[in-house]
Amino acid sequence: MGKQLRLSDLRKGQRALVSGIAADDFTASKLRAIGFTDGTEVECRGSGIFSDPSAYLVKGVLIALRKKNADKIKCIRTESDAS
Amino acid sequence: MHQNGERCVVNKNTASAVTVAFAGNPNVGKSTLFNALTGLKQHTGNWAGKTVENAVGRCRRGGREIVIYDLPGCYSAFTDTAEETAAAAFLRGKTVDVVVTVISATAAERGLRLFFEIKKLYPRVILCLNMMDEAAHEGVVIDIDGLSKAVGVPVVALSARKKQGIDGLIQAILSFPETDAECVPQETDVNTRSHMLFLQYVSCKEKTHRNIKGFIDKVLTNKYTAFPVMIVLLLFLFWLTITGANYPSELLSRLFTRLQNVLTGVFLQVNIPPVLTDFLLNGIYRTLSWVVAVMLPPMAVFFPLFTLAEDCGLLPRIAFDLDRPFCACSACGKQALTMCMGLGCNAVGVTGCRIIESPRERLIAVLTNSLVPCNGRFPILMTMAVVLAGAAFRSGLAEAVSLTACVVISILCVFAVSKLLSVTILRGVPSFFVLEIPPLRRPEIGKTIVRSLLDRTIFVLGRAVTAAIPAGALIWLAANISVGDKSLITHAAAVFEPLGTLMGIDGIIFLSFLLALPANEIILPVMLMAYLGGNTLSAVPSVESLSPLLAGLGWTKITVLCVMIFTLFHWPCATTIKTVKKETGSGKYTALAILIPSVVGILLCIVMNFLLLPWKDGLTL
Repeated sequence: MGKQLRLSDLRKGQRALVSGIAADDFTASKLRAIGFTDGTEVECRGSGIFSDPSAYLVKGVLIALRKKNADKIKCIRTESDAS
Repeated sequence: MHQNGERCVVNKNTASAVTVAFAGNPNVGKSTLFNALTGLKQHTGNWAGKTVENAVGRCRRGGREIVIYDLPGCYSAFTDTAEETAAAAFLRGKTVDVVVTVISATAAERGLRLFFEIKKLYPRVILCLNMMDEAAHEGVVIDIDGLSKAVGVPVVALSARKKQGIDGLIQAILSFPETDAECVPQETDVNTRSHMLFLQYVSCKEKTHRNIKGFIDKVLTNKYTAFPVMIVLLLFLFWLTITGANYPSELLSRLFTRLQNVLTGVFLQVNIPPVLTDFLLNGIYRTLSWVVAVMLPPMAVFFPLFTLAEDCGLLPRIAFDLDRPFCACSACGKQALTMCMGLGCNAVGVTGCRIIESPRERLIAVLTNSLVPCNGRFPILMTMAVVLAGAAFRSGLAEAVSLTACVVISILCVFAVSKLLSVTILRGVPSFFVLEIPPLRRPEIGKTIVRSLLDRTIFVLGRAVTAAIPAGALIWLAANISVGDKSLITHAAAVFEPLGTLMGIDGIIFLSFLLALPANEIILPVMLMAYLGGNTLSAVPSVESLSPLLAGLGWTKITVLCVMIFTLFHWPCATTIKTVKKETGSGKYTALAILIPSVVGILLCIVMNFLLLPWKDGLTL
């Protein structure tokens, strides 16, 4: 518990709290506007046909991010689900 | 932007009218609410970025006129994608009496964040919680009164789709205090405030959905099932279109023939000169009736089906699945969305490209959009597929398979051209990508079908009249005016004959594609007119009788195949060209948008022709 991760490290079904965004101002403000603000709980919902992009449930909305962008979001694992 | 002009009109003409703007996150139902209030038919779809332009509408409630602006959705009032600037610029103009911030009750926190941003820009604001029905279904409970006191502005809860609670919104708009609400500077930032309010007033019983929607979602995004399911879905869509269009097409065809006989009789009785009768009936009327009989039914069936798929939220899932290949082509996954829109209409697809943030990726999407066959090109593709398959396969399945193959080929071509563009003139790396995947929604089947059927039918009829009449007149004249010993059309076709022959088609076919520039719908009718212009064939040829007709004109299976390829890839229609010019603002890119599909089509036709040439004798119709 409490290990620092990148959002892209999350596997399907895993949840984490956003702890910061390590990106340029434009990308960071964009990500925050979409919902990735500090302290927000995010759940990874897995990827589509290919392993990239992945879908994340954040603030009640399902958002798809490419791995490259999800790498920029730092987070802390809260619980590990069944998988 | 054009809203400046509209604003002046509003100020002058409607002094006593209340002006309202709908702002909010994408896909929260602003346009649905707008339609419910104004009775207008803004197109709505279950995906983020459907509305890319401001719309304006009016309604009269409680004795006062309300002017409503429907703004494109945005995530933030302070960032800079094309549609967000449009919304933010409008708000900064401060010309409306009230801004209604529409937020989804299912994603209240994110909506509240935008609400606070808008409130900073614009203090006269109402908070409107839409999708209350869906939120209730998901177990979300919101303390409306508490929220209203906390944010200090009126809060209205409603469901625009179910038309519940809309009167409450009207009341809130009409009773909004006349005096300017003061702009209170907020100390805490929008993120914290929205989060705190969310925790305080919104409660959610966690529900695990193991229902049909969850299953559909899984199938649509599963590694192994997604592609087969999408292909089968497309097949089914085309099969329904072909089978559904069969009967009305024959009916219309018979009807038009009968009407022509009646008209001929009438024209004879009132002593109209035979030349004029011939011009009006065999030139204009015949082209028009062919366009309507052959082209209208498949379009009238396909478009509602397509709208249904759009309504339930299928498109963003396709974009999600296809992002990886687009990324590999240094393009944006949202191009899949604009590509799907292109299946409906390329001009709409090109405008839709505004949802792509990066200018480079947007240009790629704009330039490749007309490589995807639009609705107007399906009928000729279908007819050609029937001719190719022969009478033995009149089940609709063979045609559906060939149409699906056409779409798959065109998608592969989009990938190839996107890649080519991104390593040549539009060099760059894939940028930031974010795509909202909305929940699957049960579409309002009856309403959607009726609405899009009517809209589409009227639209296509309008286009048929404006494009087919002049084309019909022109071709009749060209076929009947002779210079030397040949008609004008023979002369014109002779110019394109060498290129046509090289491409496996002929001069007449090439000429028809050129003449069909105003609308792809008229390619086939124009072609038949050009072939038969001098004849007095009065009946509208049915699809079955077309095969021997074309064989008599020297067509082979190679000709049919090359016509199909050229239908897939040739210059965009005039409307699309105009739209590209408007969207890119550049003559150079407009020229490219015309050149790219044309070059692709001509090259592919030449290759196909030469590959199949050795078997030419065995490929007769």
